[in-house]
Parts: sequence; C-alpha cells; structure tokens
Amino acid sequence: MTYAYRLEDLLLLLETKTPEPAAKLAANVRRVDRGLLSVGLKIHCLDSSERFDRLIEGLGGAPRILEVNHFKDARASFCLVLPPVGSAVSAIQLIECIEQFTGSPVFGSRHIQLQLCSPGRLSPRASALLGIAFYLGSDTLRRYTQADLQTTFQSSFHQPRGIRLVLYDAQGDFDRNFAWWNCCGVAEPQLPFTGGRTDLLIGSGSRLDVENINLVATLLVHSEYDGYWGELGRGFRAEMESLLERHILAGLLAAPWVRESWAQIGDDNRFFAALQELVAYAYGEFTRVKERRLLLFGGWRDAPARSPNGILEEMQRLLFKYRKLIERQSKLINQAGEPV
Amino acid sequence: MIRSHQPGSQPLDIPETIPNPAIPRTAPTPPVRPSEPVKVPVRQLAACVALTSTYQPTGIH
Repeated sequence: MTYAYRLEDLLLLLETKTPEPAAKLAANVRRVDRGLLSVGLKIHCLDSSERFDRLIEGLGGAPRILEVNHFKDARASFCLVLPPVGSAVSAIQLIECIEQFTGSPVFGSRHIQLQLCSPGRLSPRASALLGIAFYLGSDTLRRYTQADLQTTFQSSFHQPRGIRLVLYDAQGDFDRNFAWWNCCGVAEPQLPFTGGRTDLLIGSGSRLDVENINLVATLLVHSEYDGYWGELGRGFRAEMESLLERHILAGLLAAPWVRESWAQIGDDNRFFAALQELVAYAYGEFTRVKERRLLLFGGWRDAPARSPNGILEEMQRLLFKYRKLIERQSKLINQAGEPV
Repeated sequence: MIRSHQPGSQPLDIPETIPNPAIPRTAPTPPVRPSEPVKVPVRQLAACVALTSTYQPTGIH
C-alpha cells in the first residue's frame, strides 16, 4: 500500500472541518477491537475528482498523493489510499469524516468503488471463502461484469492480479504496528507477518460490508496464522463449507478466486463463471422466495420474503453466531491483553 | 437492468443491485408531529377563564 502522508496529517486535516468526530477517531485510531484485524481502505473514484480536490491538496497534492500509486480500478480517475486503522469501527468513522469533509457520500455511492484491505495473505481456498461470505453477507446483492473488476494491475508484468474480486497486495508499504492476539490470548504489539495482504474490491460498499469483511478476514487469517481466533476460524470454515455443500455450491471453492503466481490461461473466466453462479443463486433466491401481501385497496401482491433455509438467511445466522462468539470469548481477555 | 427471456417462460428483469432480503430493513421512524391545537368556542373559553380566576383551594378562606 503506497501513501505518501501520515495518518496524523489526515486526521489533522479532517479536524479542520469535522472537529468532534475527527478528534474522537484520533483518540482510538490504532486501537484494535477484540483482537480483530486492522483495516486498510482504498477509495477508487469513478467520476471527476473535484470534490476530493481540497482533501488531496491538503495532504500534499495529487502528484505526491495519487500519482505515486500506480494501482487503481481501470475506470477510476484516481485511487486514494488511506492509511490502515485499528478496527472496522475506526475505518467507518474515517470514511464518515471524509464524507463530511468532501460533502459527498462514499458509502453506497455508485461513483465510488471501495477496496478493503486485511493484513495477511490467505490461501486460495480461504480467499474464496472470504469472497463468498462477503457477497452473501452484504446488505446489497450485486451483479458484476468483468469490467467492474478490472484494475491497472490485471496483467502487470511483475505483479499480475487478474480480474478478481479478491486481490493480493503488490508488496508495497506494510504497517504491522497493530496488536495481534496470539494463540495464548496475549496481545503482541505487532502483526506476525512482515508483509502481505488480502484485499476485496467490494464496489459500492456499506458499513455492514466493512464490519463483515473484517470479521471473516480475522477468522480466516487467525485460522491460518495460529492466532487467538484460530479455533473459531476453523469452525467458521467448516460451517461455511457445509453451507455451500447443502446448496450444491461447494464447487465454487475450486475456482481461482485470487490470482496466484502460477495462474493458468483462462483463470479469469473460470473465476468469473463461479462468481456468476453465486450471483445467479442469490438472485434466484430473491426471485423465488416471495410472500403474498394484501395491499391497502384489496389486491394481493407477491413481495420478496425471508426464507429460513435460504442461503442468504443462513449466511446472516453464521455471521451473527461468530460475531457473538467473539464478543463472548473476548471478555476472557482483560484490557492489558492477558488471559483472565 | 437486464431483461432475460427464454422461449416459453416469462421474461425476467434483472436489476443491477437488489437489497438482501435476509437483512431486515429498518424503516425510518416518522417524525413526531406536534398535536393539532384544539379550537375552543369563545363562550366556553370565557367560562374556563372565569372558573380558573375565581377558584381558590379549600381551607384557605
């Protein structure tokens, strides 16, 4: 991740227009929440950059802030890389401060594509689970075209990333100074890896997306790097795989969800076919599951309904369950990061 | 919006995004409207004023 400014500079700049929220954010910006991973963000702006001009100028100007970063959505006018923060809550607050500063929405905007960065490179299978869990858990079901996922690094000579939802980092700067809860529940001052990230190009994103991705990425990274939430992470993986099997979607996990160095010709299409299958299944459930509702003036209408056995409902239950388990178990760790 | 049509079946309109039906939407609470002032006929109003001005709690006089 390349950003030529300090987080403190960004917060000071935001404080000039949003003093209270920015000061609140600054107080806890590096604080890790219940041993969950830190969160990095990239804002890909698809229309003109005017509304971000003041922010970019305040941070040092476009040549210093934007042009240093060669990676962006292929359709974007620029990509603003934000320094990582300690938690999903801080990441949401940071975006809200930027929204207030620029006077235009970032969450839910069609002109902004968000990229969420989690520290630690996940295995291809865990990357697939991350992508699928994000999609099914989001408050918006999206249809994709391959153009939505094209970046300037899709066929880079040194760091090709392909046309994917899940992307590995390109070995840029890495801030590892965030607390890591190790397998014994002791909070170590640094992350256990010196580099490597797994990112999700979520498109027009929401607060819930940030929270869900942070939760799922934490569970998966801890299960692969022997962290405190490793046991829960393995449980989550098993339940996700079983959920996909019940819905005859286990084959999706075999698709190349993330571009590896030994990728084969046609992998972009193989991934996209898997994504299309997932999208079709979720959209199909939305279309299939209806309930009859009586309208005010007599007639009946079929409206989308919740299905207890549907994949979307099951995904929500799974996320809720693991969020609660983390909440409950984190109470066993005291403030200093030592097991109680 | 994409229109998907197979011969023999009803055409389907596929929007770009749809809300996830598994996530309950919280409808915004309607703003509380101040209660409408009640119109009181002039004669009744005068009676009310007279009653309150002549009223004295028992035990004082």
